[in-house]
Amino acid sequence: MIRLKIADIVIQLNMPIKLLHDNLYNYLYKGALEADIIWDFVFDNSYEIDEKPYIVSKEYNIYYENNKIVYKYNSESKIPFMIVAKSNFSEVRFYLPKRLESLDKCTNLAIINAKKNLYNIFKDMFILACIYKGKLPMHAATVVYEDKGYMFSASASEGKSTHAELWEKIYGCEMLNEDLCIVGIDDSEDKIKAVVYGCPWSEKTCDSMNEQVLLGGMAFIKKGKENIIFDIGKEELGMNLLESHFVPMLTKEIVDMCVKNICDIARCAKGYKLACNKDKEAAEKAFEYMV
Amino acid sequence: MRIKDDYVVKDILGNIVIIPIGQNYMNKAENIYLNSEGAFFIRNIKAGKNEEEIVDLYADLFSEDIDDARYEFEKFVEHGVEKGFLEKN
Repeated sequence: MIRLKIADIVIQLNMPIKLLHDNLYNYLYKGALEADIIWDFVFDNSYEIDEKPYIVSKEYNIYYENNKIVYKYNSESKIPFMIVAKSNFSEVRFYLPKRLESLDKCTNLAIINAKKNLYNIFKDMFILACIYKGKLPMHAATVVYEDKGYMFSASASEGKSTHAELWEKIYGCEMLNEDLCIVGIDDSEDKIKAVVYGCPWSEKTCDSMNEQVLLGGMAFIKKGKENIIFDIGKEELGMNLLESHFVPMLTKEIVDMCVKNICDIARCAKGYKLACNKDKEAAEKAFEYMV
Repeated sequence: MRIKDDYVVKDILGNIVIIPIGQNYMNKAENIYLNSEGAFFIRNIKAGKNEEEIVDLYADLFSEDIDDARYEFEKFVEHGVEKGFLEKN
């Protein structure tokens, strides 16, 4: 049995460790907390579905069956070829081809392939599960400066990674993650605070920090000729969070959870709008304003 | 008229947004942000009020005459049908 702890969520994986991707090793957990999420693995080539699909896409169809959500992949060679999840994603069963049951008989390439596929699917399942635990997965780069996280979110190619890398270079910050960050709230003390967690998934590099830090601020970036930064109120922050999260809005229940988390976070986090170019001055201006 | 099943109306700290779900979401339909008048209309449609009730309420609330109120409502419904989140009964 393998256990991971990502963004304060304990995941129990009932699978052989040989199928665990290297990027997940930094998140292995040996503590005493009970699992919040259980992922089971079944080596079986068959699973029959009687229902019509709820969602049809190029890659997979999604079905509702007996209060469960079923992903059936269209390619027979896909690993896993099917996923069956409880509606809140707290229990997920991954169906893998029978040939992977005896890993000793599989080639190295087959194992590497299976690891990579599972690593990517785990991200999708984690994103859906974590919203039921009060978290919001954000398409953002976050750097850590003096134990606080500063998050930069933007559409593709608007410069969030470039800006985060400037902070790393100039101020010696560490990169929490440059693509996917998990935001949550800490209500353990009198004042509710926004926090941000690293996670093991990233488009560009395998570097991520398995840390939780206070969220110093979230800046929503657009390319600009001049470097301008200003505060935004919680209402506008809520709108920006809605456009920047990673959650697939598959059902009304998922939307309800996602919006609840957006509102909770927007009420206690600091938000900014940042128009900037790639110059050093962009990072200096943002740093001076946010830190 | 009614809000279609593949859209969900949410209030995010005072802003009313219509969010596509399911197949609609997969087909890359976008979130629809409503101004105060749109928000008024959608809240009342969601509450099950008919056209006459909504037009009367709108005329009262925004101090408009009935014809102007009806025009605004019909314009909103047309917009909603075009965008795909409303359907006429």
